[in-house]
Order: sequence, then C-alpha cells, then structure tokens
Amino acid sequence: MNKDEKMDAVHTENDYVIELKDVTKDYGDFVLNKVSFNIPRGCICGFVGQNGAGKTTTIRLIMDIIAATSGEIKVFGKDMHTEGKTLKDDIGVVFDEMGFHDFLTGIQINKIMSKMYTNWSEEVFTGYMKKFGLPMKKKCGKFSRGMRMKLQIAVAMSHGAKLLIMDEPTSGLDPIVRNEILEIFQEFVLEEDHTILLSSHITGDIERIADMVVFIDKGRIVLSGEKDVILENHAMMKCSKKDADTIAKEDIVSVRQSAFGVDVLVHDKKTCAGKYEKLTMEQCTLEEIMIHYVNRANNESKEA
Amino acid sequence: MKGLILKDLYCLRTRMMAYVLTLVAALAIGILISLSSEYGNMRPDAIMGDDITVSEDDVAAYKIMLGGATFLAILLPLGVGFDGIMTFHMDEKANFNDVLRTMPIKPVEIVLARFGTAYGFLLTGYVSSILIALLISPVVKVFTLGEMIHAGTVMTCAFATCLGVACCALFKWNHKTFERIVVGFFLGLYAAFAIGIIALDKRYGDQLDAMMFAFWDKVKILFENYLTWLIPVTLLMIVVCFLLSVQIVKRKGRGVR
Repeated sequence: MNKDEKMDAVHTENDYVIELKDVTKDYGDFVLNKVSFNIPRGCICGFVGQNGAGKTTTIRLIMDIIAATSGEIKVFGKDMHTEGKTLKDDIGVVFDEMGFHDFLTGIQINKIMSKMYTNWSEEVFTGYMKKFGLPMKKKCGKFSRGMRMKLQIAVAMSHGAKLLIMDEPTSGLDPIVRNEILEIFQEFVLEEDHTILLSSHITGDIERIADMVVFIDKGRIVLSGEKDVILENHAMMKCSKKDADTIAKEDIVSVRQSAFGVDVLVHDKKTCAGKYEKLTMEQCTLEEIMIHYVNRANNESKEA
Repeated sequence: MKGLILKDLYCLRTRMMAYVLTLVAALAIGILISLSSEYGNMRPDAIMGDDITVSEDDVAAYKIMLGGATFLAILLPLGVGFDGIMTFHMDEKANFNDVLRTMPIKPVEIVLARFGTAYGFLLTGYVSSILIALLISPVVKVFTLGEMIHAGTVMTCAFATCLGVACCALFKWNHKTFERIVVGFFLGLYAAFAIGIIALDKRYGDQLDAMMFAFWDKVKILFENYLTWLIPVTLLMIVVCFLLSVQIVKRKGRGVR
C-alpha cells in the first residue's frame, strides 16, 4: 500500500480499530479526563505526551488491564471486557519493561507462547529472532535493553496480530536500534489490515512514521488528527514582543520567550499568512507543537 | 492455560537444586534417626525393657526427639510441595502479570493454571513424603509405616487448605503484603498461645498437663477418623478458595493503577 492509499485508509470513517469515547479514569491524584479518539485501520497512530501525561494509563484501559471509571472503549468494534480472549489473540503489546522472566530463553518463550496464542508461528518467531540477531538459547535476563525490546517485538509480531500497541518501545535505545525498530513498524503496516498504536515522548520517532497523532497532557487530549494536517496547519512565528502583541489571541496557541524574541505558535497557517504578512512564519516540528500546547495548558491552569 | 503451566514449571525448575537438597536432607534425617537408635546410647530395647540406666525423663525426651525428627523427615517434602506458590512472587518480580493480561486467557484459566501447578507440586511433595516414610520405616521403631502415612496425609490436608487460602491471598495482594500478613498472623498466634498457656497455668496449675493430654487424646480420636471428614472438608476448602480466586482475578485492577 502506498502513502496515498494509506491516507485514504486514515480518512475512512467507519473502520476504526480502537474507539475511545469520553473515557475517564480517576486515581484521585491523577485523572484521565474524558479521553476520546478513534484510530482507523491501517495506520500508525502516534500517541504523544510527556512523562506522566496518561499514555500508559490509556493503553492499560484499552487492553482492559484496568477498568475505566466511565466511558466506552471498543477494539475492533467489540468490548474488550466481554470479548477479551478473542480480541487479544489479534493484538500484540509491547511495554517499555520486558515482562518475561530473566531465566527464560527464546526456545522456552516460543514453547510457552505457542500454547498461549491460537495463531502462534514458530517459523515467524525464529525468523524475527534471527533477523534481530537474538540467540535462541540465551537467557533473556542477559539481553541488553535493545535486545529485550526486540524480543518483545518478535513475540508481538509472531502470532498474526492485526494491531500492535507499543508503550514507549524506543525509549532508552540508541539511534541505530531505534531506526531498526521503526523500520520494522513501517513494514508491519504495509499489510492493509495492520494498525499500530505507538506511544512515545520522542516526537522525532512519531514525526517520522506516524500517519496520525494524538497529543495527551495531564490526562486530557490536547490535539488529535492526521500528522501531516497538523504540521501543515501549524506554524511558528518568530518575532519581537511588540509584533507578537499585534497577533489576535484567537489565532495563537501559545507564546514562548526565545533567545531572540518570542515564538508564537499559530494553529491556522494559511489564514495567519494572509493576516500577518510582515511576520516571518516557519514550519514547526511536532515537538514544538507539543511544547506550545503544554505551555498553553499550564497557562490556563495558572489563570484558573 | 497450558502455556501458563509450562511457564510455572520453567519457573520452579530454577529451584530444583533446593528441592533435591531438601529431600536429601529429609532422607538423611531418617537415616540418622535409625543410626542413633541402633548404635547410640538410647536404644529401643533400653526404652522397652527395665534398664535402670535410662530414666523415665530420658525415655520421654527420646520419644519426643525421635517423634519430632521423624515428623520433620515427613514434613520437609511437603514443605517443598508448598513451594509451588513461589510462582506468584516470581511473576511479580518479572512484571509478568501485566503481560499476562494482554494475552488471550480468561481469569478462570489463570486461576486453574496456578492451582494446578501449586497442587500438583503439593501432591509431588506428598508422594515424596510417603516414599521417605517407606524408606525409613524398617529402621524407625517408634512409629509404624501406617502411622507415618497417616501423619503425612493429615499434614497434606492441612497444607492443601493453607495453600488454597494462600493462593487466594496472593491473587488479592502482592507477595510483600502477603508475607506481612502471614508473619503477623503467626506472631499473633504464638502470642495468643503463650498468653493462653500462662493464663490457663495460673488458673489450673498442676491440672493443666492432664487437661492438655485429655484434649490431645480427643484430637487424636478425631484424626483417627480423618478419612471420613478431613479429606472432604479439605476438598471443599480448595473449591471455595478456587471460586474466590476467580472472582478476585476478574475484579483485579479495578481502581488500582
């Protein structure tokens, strides 16, 4: 599937793999507050937020590891709580911490997983282990962090999963291993019905491979949509404070001091380009967009 | 479920040396008992006969020592059998429980696998205990083979009940909380026992020994009929603990980060 066809899949309204509607989880000191987003089939969705924003909590809610206080969650159009056994056969999950016992070897993990999953393929698993350079007879406790992550990915991709949910899979990895893993994810979604939900605070990785992005901050969805559209709509205006004061508040996401003046993030690049012709507009990155939205949220909570 | 049982067997295999050493120790105790009785100062014929060199206190002490040692030889393999619940701790340590909940497995299967491993191990301990009783019975004169098997079966039933309760508790709480509860429980039990004995001794004085022996005789009669009630009660407890565990696992994580 080429990029245009993938974008058509992104725009399809009635074919969502994950649907969250007003999902709330109240821990007392932290609240995931009315989180809603839908992930279409066939795309890579980047789930972005700083540490403690609620990414892992959201993933655990999707997988029914914890129960929501309120709201609705559907995976492949079904309720995970009642049909979890069937659904989980088609889902591969990778956490940031390896959940296998240190003394288990690849051979033993293969034997265990072959009895856990209906469509487990020993051939595919050993193929991935060879591809990743992971020895089958070595105890996984002796693996490096990158090797452990690759092992988890090998397990997640060896039982015919149609949905991969990854919680910070590239965190703490060196650039070479990260690049390798991201390429594997891109290969995975070449199949039409394969989807990835990839949570990360490394926006560079998301910007590289994601089709859609969901920003979460302090338990609330700040922004969500197609990555290219978000990048296309937002722009950074670098100007003096005096010039920044001329920009209408409804056009501004947030303003931040920089070394040479102020950086103003606007959310409607085309309109602002017409309105503020004299001001310089630059393309911004997902990281800058995230920082500005978090800044806005912090300012709003201070005012409140 | 088969995958979980296989995983548990791999887990417990790492503790195989400890199990083998424990069983060897149990066997060694049995052999040492026989050697001390045959070649030591305290010989069975000295207890049976009117040997004036052996006092009544010596005979009582010998019986207590021999009985306790034989009890230990039979108890140790059962202790190994109880070790099957270590898989709870090992899974917690490896963060396996979150991974487990992403797998296509129902709560009842998780509980069945745990109970299967734990009770399978306990039964292995029971069989080992019987084998050791068989091995040492020709040389241990204080107890018959039947009495040793009787004691082993009673202890297995007690262990089986405790195992069910322990599994329930470990599904509900993490192992550190469980350890605190167990230590607290036994400390409380010992304290209550000590206070009780002191209080009863103050109240009844010299009559206390006779009262305790009379009570023990009643308990012995009860256990002599153990087949008729102990095994069904044990099985009932296991079923109750199993059903409770399923409910706990189904509700696990509700409101917990």
